[in-house]
Amino acid sequence: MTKPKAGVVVFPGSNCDRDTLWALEKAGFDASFVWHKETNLSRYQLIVLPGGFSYGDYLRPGALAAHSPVVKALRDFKGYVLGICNGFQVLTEAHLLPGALTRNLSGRFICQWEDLVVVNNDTPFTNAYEKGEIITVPIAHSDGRFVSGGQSFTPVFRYLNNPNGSEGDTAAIVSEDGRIMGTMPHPERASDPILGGTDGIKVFMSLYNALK
Amino acid sequence: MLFRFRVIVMPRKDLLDPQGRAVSSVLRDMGMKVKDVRIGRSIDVEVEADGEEEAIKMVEKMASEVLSNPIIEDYSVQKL
Amino acid sequence: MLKKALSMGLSEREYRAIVDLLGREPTDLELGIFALNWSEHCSYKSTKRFLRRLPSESERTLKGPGAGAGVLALDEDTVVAFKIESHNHPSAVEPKHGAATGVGGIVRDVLSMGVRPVALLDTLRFGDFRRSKKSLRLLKGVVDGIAWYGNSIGVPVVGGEVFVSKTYEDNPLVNVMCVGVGERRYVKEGVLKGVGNSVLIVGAPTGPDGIMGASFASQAFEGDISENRPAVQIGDPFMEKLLIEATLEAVKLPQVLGLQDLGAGGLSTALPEMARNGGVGVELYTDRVPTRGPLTPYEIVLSESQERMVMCVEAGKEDEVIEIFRRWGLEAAVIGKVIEEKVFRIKDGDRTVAEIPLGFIFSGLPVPEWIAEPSPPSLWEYLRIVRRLVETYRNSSGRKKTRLGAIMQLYGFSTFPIGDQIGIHWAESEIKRESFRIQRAVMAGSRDEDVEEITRLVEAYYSFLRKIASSKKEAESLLKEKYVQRAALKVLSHPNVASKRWIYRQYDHMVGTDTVVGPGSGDAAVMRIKGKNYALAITVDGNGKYLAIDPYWGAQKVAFETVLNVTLSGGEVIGFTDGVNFPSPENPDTYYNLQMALKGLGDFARFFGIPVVSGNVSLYNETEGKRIFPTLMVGAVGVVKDVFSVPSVGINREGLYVYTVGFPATSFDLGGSEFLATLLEEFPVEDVDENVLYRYYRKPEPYNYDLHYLRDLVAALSEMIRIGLIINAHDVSEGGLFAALSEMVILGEGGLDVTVEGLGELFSETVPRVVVTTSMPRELEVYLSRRNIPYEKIGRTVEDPVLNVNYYAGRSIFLLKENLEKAYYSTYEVDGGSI
Repeated sequence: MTKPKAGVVVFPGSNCDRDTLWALEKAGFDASFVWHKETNLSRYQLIVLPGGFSYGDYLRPGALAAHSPVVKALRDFKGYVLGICNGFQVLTEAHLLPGALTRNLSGRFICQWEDLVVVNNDTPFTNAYEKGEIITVPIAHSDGRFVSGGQSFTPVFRYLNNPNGSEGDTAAIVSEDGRIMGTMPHPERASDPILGGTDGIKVFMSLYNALK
Repeated sequence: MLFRFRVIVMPRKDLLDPQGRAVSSVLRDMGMKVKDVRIGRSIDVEVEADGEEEAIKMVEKMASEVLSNPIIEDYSVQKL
Repeated sequence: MLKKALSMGLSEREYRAIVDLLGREPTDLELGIFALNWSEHCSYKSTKRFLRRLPSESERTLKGPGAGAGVLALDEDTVVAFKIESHNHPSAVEPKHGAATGVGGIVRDVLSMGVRPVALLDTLRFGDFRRSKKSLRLLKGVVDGIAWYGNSIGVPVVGGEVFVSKTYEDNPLVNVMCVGVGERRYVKEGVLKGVGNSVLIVGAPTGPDGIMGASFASQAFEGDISENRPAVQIGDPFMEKLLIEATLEAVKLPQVLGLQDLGAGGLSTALPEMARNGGVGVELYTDRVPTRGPLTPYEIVLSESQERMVMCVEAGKEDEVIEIFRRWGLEAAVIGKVIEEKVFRIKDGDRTVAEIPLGFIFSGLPVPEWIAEPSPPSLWEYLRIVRRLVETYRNSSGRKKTRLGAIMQLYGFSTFPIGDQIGIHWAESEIKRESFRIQRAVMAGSRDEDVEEITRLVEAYYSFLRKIASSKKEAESLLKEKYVQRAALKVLSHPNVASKRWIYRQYDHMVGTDTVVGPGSGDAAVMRIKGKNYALAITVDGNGKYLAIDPYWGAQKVAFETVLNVTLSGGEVIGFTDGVNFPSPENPDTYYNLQMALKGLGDFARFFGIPVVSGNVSLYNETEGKRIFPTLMVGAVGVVKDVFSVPSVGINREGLYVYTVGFPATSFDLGGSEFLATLLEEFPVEDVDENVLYRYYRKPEPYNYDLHYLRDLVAALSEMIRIGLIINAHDVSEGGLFAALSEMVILGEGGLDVTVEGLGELFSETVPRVVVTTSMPRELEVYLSRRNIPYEKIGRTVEDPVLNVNYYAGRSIFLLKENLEKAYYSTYEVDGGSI
């Protein structure tokens, strides 16, 4: 059986690219890096925009990366797209997902484990979870407060103890067609028992199920 | 009396502005003929004072002592 | 010209030496080059002779001091590189950017060895931010800077410590340790080699940033701190991140022969150093250096612009290297050439603007002759402190008087020269002799002293002695239970003991997905290495108050603390890095402390067979004569063979047996503890310089610090962990046994019920001890007895999350976990999560 192919985009300033690649491989993917100037994504079934500080997060987090060639190419991409943390910010800045991510209410960076509720398991990103399941996944961001700005959105994960002031305790959302997901919590950081938990790897396993 | 001012705080000219540098390089990549970008902050303040002179003094003081850090930033004050 | 030299931080003697060496007046640029290379920061001129005596060799040592970072072999193919560095002066002036550029600098030092930076630890010193607005502003700014820079570059901050003392009020310390892991075959060094080869500058373009910064960092502050401005630099973590990736790609190319960070002194120090390391000379063409706006050769050579590195690349094969950096959006340009003649020659176009033989830079520096002379504890100074205690005691009455009497008793026991009966007799006769001598001298007119003052001091002292001698009851019985409990919670909430969660939550400590034990949950950070069956344990420590008590012993105490932390995390220390942060060496007492501290560290490291492979020195940390604690930070890196055997700190099982391992502590060992400091707040002694206050505290009895004993203790603990005899482990440090037990309850689900003998055992911080739990008490006791390691069974773990400590004949402290948590977490988190 051939493994599904996943591409992890490397923007200047991405810093969870290698972590994400590692988790994807662990979940069974044939994963490789995609340079931010790449425009041909036809060989991939999944593109992941990893966490980090693309272009230093200057101006607004994700704002500059949203204008990169690879993100422009995503508009014609037919496979699944997952944006983690900074990747989520890029997707909203590029209007591939609704809403925006703005400064945490505390005004500070927060790095800690968070309890989440899986509110939607009917997506290719969450089919390995039970609906209503409570999972623990780390967050690490200073701009993670989700605001919809009046746009409609479909939540996937919700915070149990909202750490940043997100509207409706929203931690992750999925696009209307179910093809694109953005999550502030880092599933790749909860992919190994030695790191304190494995609740996150099921996101990649879900995608594997959907693609195999 | 109420007075309104806009304080513009900019990174000092001789110091590196990392933010401006990153933005200008992306704009250039997008094909725009950008020579330089510098990014600062604009802060609107409303103060109460007996006269304009007193108000300006107050704003100057907050601009130089609180709103900007003279080690790395310059500021200017406009009356609105 | 002399005036200019002085303004650059050179001494007159050094300036004369330069003129002698060159046989002419130097140009401005040449003078600047000398000033930077000869600054304390770059030359280590005051400390080199002591640093040289630190052991740096071991079977694993690949690169020792002098390299960008120390490098040790982990296995046949894998290496670890690490170093600690200070950024104290810049952080005092501009805390956010000072701290941020400090992170950037040490990360590049590690990167320059050809390895990927994988972990950061920060060790910070401030004034007490609960009382000082200025210290609070510094703390917030520094944390903000480290978070901003560290998070952006994707290197997790996995550990560190914060310590406050009034002595750091004007001179905060910001030390950052970086650890890198990489492949042995790509390890690089800061060297120029092969005549005709090219010198490349890579990274960010050069701007007029931080000119003469290293020289600024080598002077004491005088007057208004905001005047000390010229050396501020702004870092750009985004550039640094690109530089990391591009450099790690480039080091794999065989034509990259040498690599060095451009740190303090910029090109002016890096190029001569690299040339000397390769036994060659170097020519620099300033007009080829990529710049941000027009710059003079003087500015280009002396600039400390961040995020730049220098490379030596084989001639003719530069393009492949340049291509990598351009792809990452960075500058890369050939700016010089390796030459045979051992000079540093700088050309601007065809014009030679500076030419200095390398020998002048490295051998011409007149070594400063500071005097090392301890100012030993003086009886009279001590009596002045005692007099305040006695006066307060006399002026009080009722219950308060009883309490103050008890506190005086504890203070008396734990200080020089009372301690015990022999001490009392010795001090008495000493005083009699000395006061007799002084009185005679005063009468003879040869000494100008107030006889009445002396009489008062002696009287106060006798009344102090009488108070202690006559107190038939022990302090434990004189102090109310409620009072002790309140003091205990105060200890737990002291900034030196309390949780630093507010700080480390702002740092991304998980990026890299290798953090097995992160900040706040163990004695040391544990980092796995993907694909390896071993992990790294990393810690940094540096409590300056121990060195204020005694520099030699204090340095060993600090070093031992790191060894203990690594051991309790299941590891074995393989290397040290040292961060020396001292006041001006021109003060004989400081110079003596410096010498003794480094001797202490050296003797310890040699005995334990641990090489000190890198380090940093920051002197002149004083303002208008107010000196910081002599502060020696020790960073330790260890190898953990089995990650799954790491014992936890938090109690999660009931019915386990709780032991302390190590000699027990008594009230004589309370000197320097936060508990005693808390009690002494009732006496108005705060205006005494802490450097003076601490030098009267007694060290623990020497058998506690016998190196053979310590080595056996470590070996025993490490084996008991390996064979699974120990379930929980935590070392006793700041806040004493009480703080250790509290943390074990706070970090777990269960509780503790223990019995100890007295306040000394509960709160002493100076006696090396460890708390462990086991389900096999007999085996543990047999094991320790066979090895002559003292231990004490102190209690059991319980199901409920509570801490109960019986500390004296039926007296106890009983606290619910929530009370402990409130004290432990709130110090840094008032106003709903922000200080």
